[in-house]
Amino acid sequence: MNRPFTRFSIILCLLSVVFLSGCGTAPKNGPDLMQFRARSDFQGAANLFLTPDRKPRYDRNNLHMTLEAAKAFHDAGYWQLSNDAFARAHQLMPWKEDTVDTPQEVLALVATTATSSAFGPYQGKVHEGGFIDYYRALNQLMLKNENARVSFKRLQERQRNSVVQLGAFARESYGSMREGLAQNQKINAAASTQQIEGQLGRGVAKVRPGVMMSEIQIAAGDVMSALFRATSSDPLDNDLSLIQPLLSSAAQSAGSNEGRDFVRKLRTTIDQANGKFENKVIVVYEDGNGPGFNEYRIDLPMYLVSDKVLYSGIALPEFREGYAAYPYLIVGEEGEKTVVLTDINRLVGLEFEKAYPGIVSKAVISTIIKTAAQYAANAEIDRQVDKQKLDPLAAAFMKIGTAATQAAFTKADTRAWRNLPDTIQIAVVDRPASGLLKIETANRQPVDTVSLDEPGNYLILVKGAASQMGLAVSLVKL
Amino acid sequence: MMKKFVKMILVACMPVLLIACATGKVSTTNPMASKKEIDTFGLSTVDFDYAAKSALDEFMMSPWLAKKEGRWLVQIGNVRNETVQEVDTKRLTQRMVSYMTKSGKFAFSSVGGSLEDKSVKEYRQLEKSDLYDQDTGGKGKVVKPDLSMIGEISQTTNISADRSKQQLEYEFRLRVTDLSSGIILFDSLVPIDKRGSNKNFAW
Repeated sequence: MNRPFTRFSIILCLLSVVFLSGCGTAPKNGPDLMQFRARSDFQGAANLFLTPDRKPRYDRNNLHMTLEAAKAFHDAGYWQLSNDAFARAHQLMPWKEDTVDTPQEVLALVATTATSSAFGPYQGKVHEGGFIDYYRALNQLMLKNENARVSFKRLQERQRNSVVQLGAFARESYGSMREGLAQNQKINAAASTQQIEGQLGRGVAKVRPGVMMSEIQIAAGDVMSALFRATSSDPLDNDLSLIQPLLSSAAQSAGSNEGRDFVRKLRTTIDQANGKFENKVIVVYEDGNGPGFNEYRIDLPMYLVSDKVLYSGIALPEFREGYAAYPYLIVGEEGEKTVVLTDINRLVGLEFEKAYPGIVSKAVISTIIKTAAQYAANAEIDRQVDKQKLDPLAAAFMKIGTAATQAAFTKADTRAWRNLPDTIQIAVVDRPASGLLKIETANRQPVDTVSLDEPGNYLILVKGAASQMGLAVSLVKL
Repeated sequence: MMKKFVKMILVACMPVLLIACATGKVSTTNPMASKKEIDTFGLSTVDFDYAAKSALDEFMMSPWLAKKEGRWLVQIGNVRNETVQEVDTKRLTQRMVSYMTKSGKFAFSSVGGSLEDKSVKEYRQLEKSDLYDQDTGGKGKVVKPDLSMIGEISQTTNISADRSKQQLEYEFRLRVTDLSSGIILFDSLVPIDKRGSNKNFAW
C-alpha cells in the first residue's frame, strides 16, 4: 500500500527544489535591536553585533544584517567599526543599473518567484546605497580622516545616479507587471486581479503622495558635502563652483519647506563668505525611528477546473510610517531650531511605490505557480487513491500538507533597514564666544552643554530614537 | 497539467544556461599599461609611475631650471585626492621624490610640507639643554626651500548615452611655485582615462 510511487516522488522533489532553492537566511537579533532603540540605548544596540571582547559579530554575507550592524556601530560612536561594515555593505550592493543578467541573479529571481522574495537574499534599495556613503562620510569626519572627501565624492556620484536608477527600476517594475498579466493568461488558471484591486492598494495607502523623483536623493548628504568644503582648511575645497551645485541639488530634494528655506539661506551665507566658513557649529540631529513594512494577506479567487486546491492566497507588504521622538532641537542662546532636511518616510515610500506593481505581479505569479503545484500534487494523490495504492485518510493528510506548504511559503518581504531615523535635521550656528553651546529639546529639556573651547569649526551629531529617553551626542573639531 | 508545470520550470531555468556573466574588462589610455595588468577602475602602480614620469619629464625640460647652478631645494606639499578612490597619495609623492633626486638637480626639505621630519625642529630644543655640548652640531643652518611642489589627483565620471559604459577621467596635476616670489613656474596635467561596464560603481 505504501510503496513509493515514481510520479508522486518526482512532483515532491520538484516542489522541494523549487521551494527550497529560494531560501535565504533570516536575520538574527530581530526584535532586540528595536527594543534597544525604544530606549535610545545605542550602546546596547551596537553590542548585539559585538562579541564580549568587542570584535564584530555579524554575517558579512548578509546585506540586511551588515547594514543594521554598520548603523548601530555609527550610532554608538564606533566610527571605524561602522566604516568597515559599510565598506562590506557596499561590496554586497555595488550595482548601478537595475538589471538581472548574471546566472546568480536569474537563479535568485526564479527561486524567489516560485516561493517568496522574503526567502531570498536581501537585495538592497536605491536609497540605501546613498546612506552607505553618507554615513561613511560622517564616520570619516569623526575620525578626522582625509578620506572624508572621497566619501563625499562617492555620495555625489550615487546621488547623481539614484534618480536615473529609480526611473529604470520603476520601468522594470511596471514591465514585470505587464509580463505577469500575460503569464496569467498562459497558465491554465483563470485568476482575476480586478476583483481584488481595492485590496491591493492597501500596501501603498500610507505612502505620502506627490513625492518627486528627485527626492530619492539625500538632501542631508548634499548639505554635508557643501559644509565639508566650506569648513575645510584646504583653500582648494572652499570653491564656490563645487559648493553651489550641491546646495542646488539639496534645495530640490529637501524633505520640508523649512529645509528648503534653510538651504537657500545657507547658500547666500556661503556665497557672502566666499566659500569659507569660520567658527561655525554644525548640528546634525537624527530623530526617531524610520518606516517599515507590515504583512497583509488576501484570498485570491483562483478558479481552477476542479476542487483540488485547499488553499490559495497572496501576501503583500504594507508601508508603515516611522515615528518621531522630538519634533526638533533648540541650539544655542539664539534658539536656532533644527529643520528637517531628509524625511526617510518620503524616501522609502517613494521607492516602495515605484516597486509595488512589480511586487504585486510577482506575488500573483508566485501564487499561481504554487497553486498549480498544489493542484498537480493533489491530482496525483487522488490518482493513487483511485488505484488503491494510498489510504484515503493518508491522502487527506497529504493534501493538507501540500496546502500547508503553500501557506508557509506565502510570505511578504517586509525586511527594511530598521535603525534608520525618521528624519535627519540640521542647524548651523556661530560658535558662541563663551565656548559653551547649549542644546535642548523642543520642550526645553536640556540635552547637553557642549564645550567648544578653541576657535574653529565643529560638527555635533545628536541622536534620539525615542521620546522621554536620553539623546546621544558626539563632537569633533573639523 | 503536470507536463505543463515541468515545462514551465525548465523554461524559467533556461536563461541560467544561456546568459553569460557580465565582463569586468576595463580599458585604459595609460600607454605604460600592459595586458598583464589587473583590470581595475582604480589607480595602480603603473598609473602612478606614468603620471609621475610624464609630469616630471616635462618639468625637467622647463627653461628656467637652467637659471640656477647647483641643486634646487624643494618643499613637497600635500597631494589632494579628489577622486572616488581611496588613493594613497604618498605613492605618487615617493615616486616624484625618487625620480627628481636621481636627476641630481633637486634636494628636498624635511622641515615642512608632506616630507616634514619633526626631529629637525626638535633638534632646536637641544640648544636649550645643558646636557649637550653647544659647540657641537649646527645652529641656524636650516636652508630655506626655493620651490614648493603640490599636486592633485582629480576624477570625473562620464556615462555613455546608452548607459552601458562609464569612463573615469583622472587628471594628475603638478604645480611648482617659486617661494620667494610666489610665481607659479610650472603647472602640468597628465590625463588617464579608464573605461568599462556601467553595471557597478567604480569603487
